[in-house]
Amino acid sequence: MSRLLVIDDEAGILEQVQEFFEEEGHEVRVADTCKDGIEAIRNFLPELVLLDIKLPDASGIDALKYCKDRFPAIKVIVNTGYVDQGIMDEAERLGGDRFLQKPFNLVQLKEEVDALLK
Amino acid sequence: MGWVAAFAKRRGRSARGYKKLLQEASRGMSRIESQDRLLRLVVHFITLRMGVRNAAVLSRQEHSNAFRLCHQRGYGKNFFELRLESSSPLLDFLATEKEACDAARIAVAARSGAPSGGKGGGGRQPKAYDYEAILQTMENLEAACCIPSFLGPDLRNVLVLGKKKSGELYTGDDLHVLLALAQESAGAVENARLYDEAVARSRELERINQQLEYSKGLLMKALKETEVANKALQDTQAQLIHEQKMATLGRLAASVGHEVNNPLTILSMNVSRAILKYRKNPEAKLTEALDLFDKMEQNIGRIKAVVNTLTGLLKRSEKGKFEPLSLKLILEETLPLVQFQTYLDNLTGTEVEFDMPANLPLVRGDLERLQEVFLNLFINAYHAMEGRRDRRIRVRAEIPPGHPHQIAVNFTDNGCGMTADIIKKIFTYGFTTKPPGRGSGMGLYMCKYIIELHGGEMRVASKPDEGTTFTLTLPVCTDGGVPVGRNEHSEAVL
Repeated sequence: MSRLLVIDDEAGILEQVQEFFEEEGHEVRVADTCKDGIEAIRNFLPELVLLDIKLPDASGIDALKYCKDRFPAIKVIVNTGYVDQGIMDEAERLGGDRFLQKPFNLVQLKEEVDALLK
Repeated sequence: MGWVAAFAKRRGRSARGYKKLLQEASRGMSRIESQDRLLRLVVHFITLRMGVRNAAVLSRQEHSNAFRLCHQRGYGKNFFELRLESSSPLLDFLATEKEACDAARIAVAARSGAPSGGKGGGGRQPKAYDYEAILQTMENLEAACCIPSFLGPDLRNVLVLGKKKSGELYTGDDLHVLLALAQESAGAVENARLYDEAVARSRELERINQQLEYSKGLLMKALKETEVANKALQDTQAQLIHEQKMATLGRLAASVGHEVNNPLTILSMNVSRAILKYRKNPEAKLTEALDLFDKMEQNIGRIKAVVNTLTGLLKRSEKGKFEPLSLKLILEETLPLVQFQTYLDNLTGTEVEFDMPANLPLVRGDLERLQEVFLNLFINAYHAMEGRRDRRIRVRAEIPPGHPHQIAVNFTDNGCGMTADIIKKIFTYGFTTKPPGRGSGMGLYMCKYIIELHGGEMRVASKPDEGTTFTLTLPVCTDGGVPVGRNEHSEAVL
């Protein structure tokens, strides 16, 4: 069992991912803003973060930067619906562990999560 | 015997006949058109016929009134360009006495100090001349006698004759005939002078014409260059509009990517969960997965809406028909749509005030799309004013100061207004403050896009709890035309 944090402004995604990984036996927290996400990283200390780039209050890149600066051991899967190579390069530079381009399904996500938590 | 008389006699003519000869000579002269040629001929004729050593004409210059020695025959080089001022004693004598001036007689007068006679006794007090100076001038001109020629009262030319080769002096007859000849020829000489002047003028005209033609050519060339430059400018503008369109479409495509990929992700997750559930329990009933299918349906609807908006936008941006439109007409035709749209929201009883000058020019645009803009603004305004008592929308149009080719439309509501943070995002694709199901987040994005496609701008100013003003600018239609619809201030209550 691991602690997972999902940061995304899309309620449908938060719901699906939370339900699925809880069924898988993990402890899952969700946040729909960058600010709440950073708060949760600090308090919840997840082992893995699924991080969306486009958030209503700031860029997910800010959360990635915070996370990797303060808690480099936390694995981060960065994902976005935008097709923007620049943002992906930036995420890689800041230490993002995996990159997923939306749309992706739960099976693909599980593979990535399992690989990182092994 | 004078030379003309001798000439006449040689031809066997009487003194009467030689008068006739004079007339013929005059008529012959009148046929010669150029003054230059005529005077040259006179000089030539006299030198030849009278056997004088030298002869020339002192001709009055048009502009200076000085007399220039020209058409010399038998003179040395040093006589070229010789001039006499009009104040010269010789010229004064000729102009006053109006008769030939014979050096031999002047010499006599100079010695005796008496007037040379002639007309002196004709009741008029003889004038005292400086005979020495006259004689000196004649000597300078190598002249034995000088014959004046008048046009009206003006001394125009003086025929200067040197000594006869035979050594004979000029007789009274000679002088008489020469004077008559000079007078007879004066008209011809003047005609010739006028002719020369006309020729010179026509040459000058021709030159001016040529210059005009040349200038015209330059102008035509400049005009052509301006046309080419204008065309290039128009092409650049068209290119800029195209680029702006592409940039807008590019931004749209990026937003659409996001708007489509998110529901697709949810859809995809739902599908994978349904499959996983089935694998865990192949006996599971379909009803157990109904919740998942509902969610799928919702997200498919989201994707459909995005695709519809995009295809609609693209279709319109290609086929949009731009025509001269009256803003008043656009708004009047939009209002019933608003009433229909807002009916269900129970938003009746809102005051809508139009403030438009009667002389507002037409704009060029696509009626349906501009109606879409105003429809969006009306609906947003209604939503912003929901729950308030005195709901008021004011639409004011004007030509903004300093921008005579624009119309600015200020669309003001007294609704809830917006914070600075929200203002920053309201034109962003997909951004909405409305509850789910009420706003797509596309309305204002589309409005701005449509206004920009029309070559205009869209801005917003707002204060929380006070209201919001959207300002649209649209280029004035420059093709002319009369605004459609009535003018002045009108009010409508829904």
